[in-house]
Amino acid sequence: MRRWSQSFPYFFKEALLHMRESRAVAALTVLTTTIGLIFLGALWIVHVNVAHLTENWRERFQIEVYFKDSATSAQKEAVRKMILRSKAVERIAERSAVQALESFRNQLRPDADVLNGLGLSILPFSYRVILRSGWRTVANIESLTAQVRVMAGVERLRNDIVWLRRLDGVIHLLRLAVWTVSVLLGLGVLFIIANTIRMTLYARRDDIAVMHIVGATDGFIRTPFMTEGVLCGLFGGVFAYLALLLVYHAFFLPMLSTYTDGSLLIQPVGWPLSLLLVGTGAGLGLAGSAITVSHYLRRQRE
Amino acid sequence: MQTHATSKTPAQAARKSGAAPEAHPDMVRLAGVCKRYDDGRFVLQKIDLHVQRGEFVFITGPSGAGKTTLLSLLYGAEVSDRGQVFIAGRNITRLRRKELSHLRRGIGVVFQDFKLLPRRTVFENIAFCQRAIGVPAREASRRVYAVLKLVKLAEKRDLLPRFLSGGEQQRVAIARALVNRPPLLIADEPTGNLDPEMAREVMDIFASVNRIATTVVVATHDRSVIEYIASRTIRLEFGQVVRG
Repeated sequence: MRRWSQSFPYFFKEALLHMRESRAVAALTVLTTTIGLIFLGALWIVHVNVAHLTENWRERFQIEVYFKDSATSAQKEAVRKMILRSKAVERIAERSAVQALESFRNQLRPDADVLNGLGLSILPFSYRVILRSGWRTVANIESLTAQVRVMAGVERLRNDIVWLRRLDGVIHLLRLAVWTVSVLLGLGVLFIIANTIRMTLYARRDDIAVMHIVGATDGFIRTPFMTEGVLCGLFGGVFAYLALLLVYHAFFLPMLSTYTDGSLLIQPVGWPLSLLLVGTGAGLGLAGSAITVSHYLRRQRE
Repeated sequence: MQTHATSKTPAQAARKSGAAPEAHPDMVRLAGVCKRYDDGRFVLQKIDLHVQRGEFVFITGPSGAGKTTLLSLLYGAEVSDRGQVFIAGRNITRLRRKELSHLRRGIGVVFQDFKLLPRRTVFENIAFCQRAIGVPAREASRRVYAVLKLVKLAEKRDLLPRFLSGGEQQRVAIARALVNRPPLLIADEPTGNLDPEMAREVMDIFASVNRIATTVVVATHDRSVIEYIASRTIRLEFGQVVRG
């Protein structure tokens, strides 16, 4: 470890020397890596914001349990206890027949007069079940409704499970698309960096041959090239982040503040995005260069 | 004789590679070594030879006799198809990759075409090899100046190889081979591209390092060089030792 840390300035200097000597190739690699990572970052922003938006919609999701007119207080209490036993439930709001009618009357205004003379109990007693954040999943809701539906006193349940199922489907598809495109973009960046390192290796084949003759280990030969790969990826990640930051502040933020309530595109442009881009860039650079150098050295041995 | 391959002594470096330089009288020993071309023809056939520690040996023979292949086996650039190659008592055909790298730090190699790196200065060509085996920058610098003085090129340290004569380039290559103070120096046709006067200068350097206990093995077909040093000569013909 100490030996490696002593040699690190040498590795770093050699990597920068490689990049300076083939600066056009290095610049092109950083540029293409930057473009790839910009797309990756943009996809991530879209993904995070769609997830954020759908979570907002999900927040509004609730289950309504309507009771029969003949339901007794004991039956209502039994249902209440059973519902509250579920970990997915945050709280229950009761709505009596009178409160339901009042609410309906408010909705019908100014034509609420049509309800006059219908009596106070035309609408049933009900529970509004509010679910905990993060527990509003199709599986939780199906499990809960299946148990409640068969209980004594319950007339029917109302929920938006079909809508929720569709929403889950869309999110799943979106996630799949984001991952697929991200993997493809990642492979593209990996290929570009690997190719650059391959070109550097061939340009340096005499140096490598001499290093072998004088007794340099494969690890020592490999490290400057891997450092170069990491640097290309790192620079790509930093430039991609800066580009996204610029686009976000110069174009999206003014546009969104004009046309929306500002709930979109807030959280992704920060440390998580910069870490994602720089980390992915460096990781792909490391992997691309390691694969290429190992392959080259193995072929040299054969 | 010491090598400065790392901060370790040559004995330590050799132990790391599994060699035991002080224990074995033979620096080089080949036992029943055969090597074929890809098409199946033999380059070397049943080679048995040994070179004692501190000896100066010429390997001679016509072009295609197998001299270069023989030397390549000694520093592990080639692997024999049959037989065994011992360097300082260590069978290098059985060494792992990393062990071979460590062993090579005790072997200096000089080529006919010098194999200098054209984009690096004289100083960098030698220092680069020191850094490649992990010698710290300051220590590497000290050693490079010392070896450049030995080959009388200290004043040309900042020049690129293309600004040097053939003889000077060969001296840089020799300096690179000697900078680790290797116990074994191998040279493949080192005077092939040099005029007679330069050739004698190069041989004088070899003779001087041999006097301080470095084993020297030189492949050449230049009779004047062999006569100039007058040392043991091993003659190869059609891949076989015919005298030695």
